[in-house]
Amino acid sequence: MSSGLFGLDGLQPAPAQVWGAVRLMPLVQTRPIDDLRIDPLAFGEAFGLVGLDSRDPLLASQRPEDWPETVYASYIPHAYVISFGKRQAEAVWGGRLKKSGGKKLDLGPFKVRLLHRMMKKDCRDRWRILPLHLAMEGFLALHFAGPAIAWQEYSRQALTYGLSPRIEGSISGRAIRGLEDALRVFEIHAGQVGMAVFVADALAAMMVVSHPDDYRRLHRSLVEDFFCDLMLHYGLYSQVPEDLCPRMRTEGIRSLADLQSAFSSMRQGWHDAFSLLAEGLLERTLSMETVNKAGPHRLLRFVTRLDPARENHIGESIVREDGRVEYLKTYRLSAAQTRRAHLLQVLAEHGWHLEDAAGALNETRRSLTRRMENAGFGYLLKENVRAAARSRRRK
Amino acid sequence: MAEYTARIEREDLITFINACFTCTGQAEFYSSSAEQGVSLSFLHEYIRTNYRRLYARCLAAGINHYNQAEIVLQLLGAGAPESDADRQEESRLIRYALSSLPTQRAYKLLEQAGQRRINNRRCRAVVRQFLAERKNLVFEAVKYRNRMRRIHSHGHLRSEDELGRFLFGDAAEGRFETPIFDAYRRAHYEERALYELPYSVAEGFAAKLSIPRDRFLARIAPRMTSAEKARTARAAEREEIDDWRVDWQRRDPTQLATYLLSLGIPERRARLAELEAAMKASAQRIVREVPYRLGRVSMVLDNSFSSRGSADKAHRPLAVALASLYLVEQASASLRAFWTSPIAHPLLARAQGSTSLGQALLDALAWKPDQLLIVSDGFDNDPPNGASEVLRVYCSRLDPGAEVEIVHLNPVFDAAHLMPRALSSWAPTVGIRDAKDLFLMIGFARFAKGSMDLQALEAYLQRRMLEVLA
Repeated sequence: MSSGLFGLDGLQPAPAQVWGAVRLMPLVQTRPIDDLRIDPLAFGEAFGLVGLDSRDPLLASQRPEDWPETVYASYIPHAYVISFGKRQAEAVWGGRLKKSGGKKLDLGPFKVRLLHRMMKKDCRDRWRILPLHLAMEGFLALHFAGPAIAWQEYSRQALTYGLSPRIEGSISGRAIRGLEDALRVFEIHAGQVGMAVFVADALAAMMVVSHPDDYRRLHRSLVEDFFCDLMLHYGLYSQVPEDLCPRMRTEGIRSLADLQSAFSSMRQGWHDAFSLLAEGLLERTLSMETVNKAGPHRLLRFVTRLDPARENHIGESIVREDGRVEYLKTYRLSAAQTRRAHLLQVLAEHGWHLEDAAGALNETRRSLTRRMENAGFGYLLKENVRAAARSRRRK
Repeated sequence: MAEYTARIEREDLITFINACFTCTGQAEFYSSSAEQGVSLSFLHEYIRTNYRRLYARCLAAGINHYNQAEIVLQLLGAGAPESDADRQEESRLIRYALSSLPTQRAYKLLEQAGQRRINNRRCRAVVRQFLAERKNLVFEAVKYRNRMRRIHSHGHLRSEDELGRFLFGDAAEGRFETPIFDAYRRAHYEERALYELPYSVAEGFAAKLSIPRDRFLARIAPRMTSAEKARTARAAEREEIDDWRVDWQRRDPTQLATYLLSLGIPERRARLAELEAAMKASAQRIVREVPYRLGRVSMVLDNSFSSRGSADKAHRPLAVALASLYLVEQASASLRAFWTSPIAHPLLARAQGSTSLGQALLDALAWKPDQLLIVSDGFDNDPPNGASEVLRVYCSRLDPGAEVEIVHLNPVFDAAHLMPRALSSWAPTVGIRDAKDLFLMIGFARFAKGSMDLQALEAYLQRRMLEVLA
């Protein structure tokens, strides 16, 4: 893990368009490069199981012999194939260039695709990644191993299996009202390589690829990505509230020239709103983890420094040596997800010692226990510890 | 209270007439055809139930064919009104509408009466009379054979002559006295007979007899209508048929604009002089027939991405804007056009870019026109509400006397609001489907603005009715 600032080098925001509660802000690449191309690889069956052979020796040693390897299960409609170098295969219609990847498991009404690893090298200069799941898996795996020291408060399960199973919920882009329509009706700009999606003016996701043609192909697939459940509610704000629509000042306008200047400032104000709106992600300190490297390209996943008082994002990106962003996908964490992760982080920082962690959070040991219970981590603690916290509360 | 009722009535009617000028139940860029259909059929039913007389009179207001047909169907389905005067007036209006509709639409209307199971005495009388008055019934029986058959069987119409055998018998067998019926019979086996049939019928036989496309097109050409020729112009080009004369100047400006927008930019550039001459001549032909003249006009035309329309009506909003430009050019003392994304030549227009109506409006107002016409779908996004704010401030602060007449013409029906989307309450919004209705709609805009009361609107509809029934 390293840390750094989030930046969007070489990308220019273009005027945003608003449809219902959804605002799409196009990101335009000023100096396009074409040695990294991204292809979507659609899976017919949306449910997927991804085997994660852990490279974390601690986790591997903890795993009993008969315990299956760590598995990530989710809705996975597609993968991206990332190819480096200008070696695009020329296709003829009907030709089959891509293997669909993984095995299929037929479970009656469901079909499940079995995949191997979040990110896999198909051949020397091609990667297959599962977009956004890479970042989400990184997030779920935070402190996944559980307590490193066998403090007596922790249950046997926590000590043996860590946090497993660790579950977070999210919603599909189709559930956000207006997103699908917005993707259809808004024009793709010349040179557009990315987009920031705002729902009710909260940053929901950001997506960047390296080439405008790739973006054109992937534009509509955004609706298949997952978003935090907060966005479902935000999407129900049917219109941009009147107050947020730009208004023009009326006083002091005596000629057309005055009107023109008032209009220009209103328009400028609307365009400048981007930096303000995306504040939750831009200029934030990130903890980053490099997943893989190929030549000058580095695939990494990141989490903004978890702060329950602010909006937090996770994401994955490919960054070139010169700092240029060639691929980016982010996911906004909901407040509850942030709180859970933050709690784990504080516990881990203090060696999973309850008193120390409670001290860092300005709380008592009992209230921390209750908080863990509320966050869904009660199963980590022994029954008597949980009961004690409960009985105190009843008094 | 009475005043309030009158206002509601006026608004209802304006909404309805506006919708009838614009909507055809086809998909638009921002809404599907199902949404449009639901919205429109609600309006029809609502107005028919509440304002029956005025509803019928709308037939004379110059609304589009789709809605004329819908009104006739609704009236036929609802049975005849009580009073004699109303009944007579309605019947005359229905007769007028049926005879003025294009042939294919009139037959479709009668066929739909069957589908909707409307078969009252009045409906049967209307069908009988319509068919009795057709001058070219035999030809139409061949061209619209299936429709004609359904109409006959639904209305239990008898025909003693060959028509009955042609419609209901096996048309491939037994000689007919009527030459075109016999040609239809022979066309089942013989290529020569095929060229005596209308083009749309011959097309089916040509496929059946596997006639090479170039030979078929070259030989059927004399039987084609000018609209059919215009439609197959691209195919004729592909088949390298040389003397395919399409009289573009006879097409309406909107149709011509739709055709030229379907061409690629390089082709348009190569044929620029020819296309421009055709546009001008076509516009001149329309303008000659209307006595309306405009002064110094500036036009704000929307060529943003959304003006590309939908799969149902490709490029329609942009075509309407383009055709309006040429029409106004012919009818005004001086004209300047302001596009939302500037272009080198109007005929090289493409639907792209975001909509910055506000800036275009400011430029247009700076030119100090007498009249300002805006042709746009009303979706303004750079910035949102930009145009609405400019209009608000301009009309309230700079031009409180309304010296500049501003009209917003909207080629797109907004299903959710039951009317074309308005830009601002300061400028009246009227729907427009065909650019040749432009002058009618500018006149109608006075009602939309609210400066005229219900009596004036009723008088207007009555005058239109007396005009067309005269």
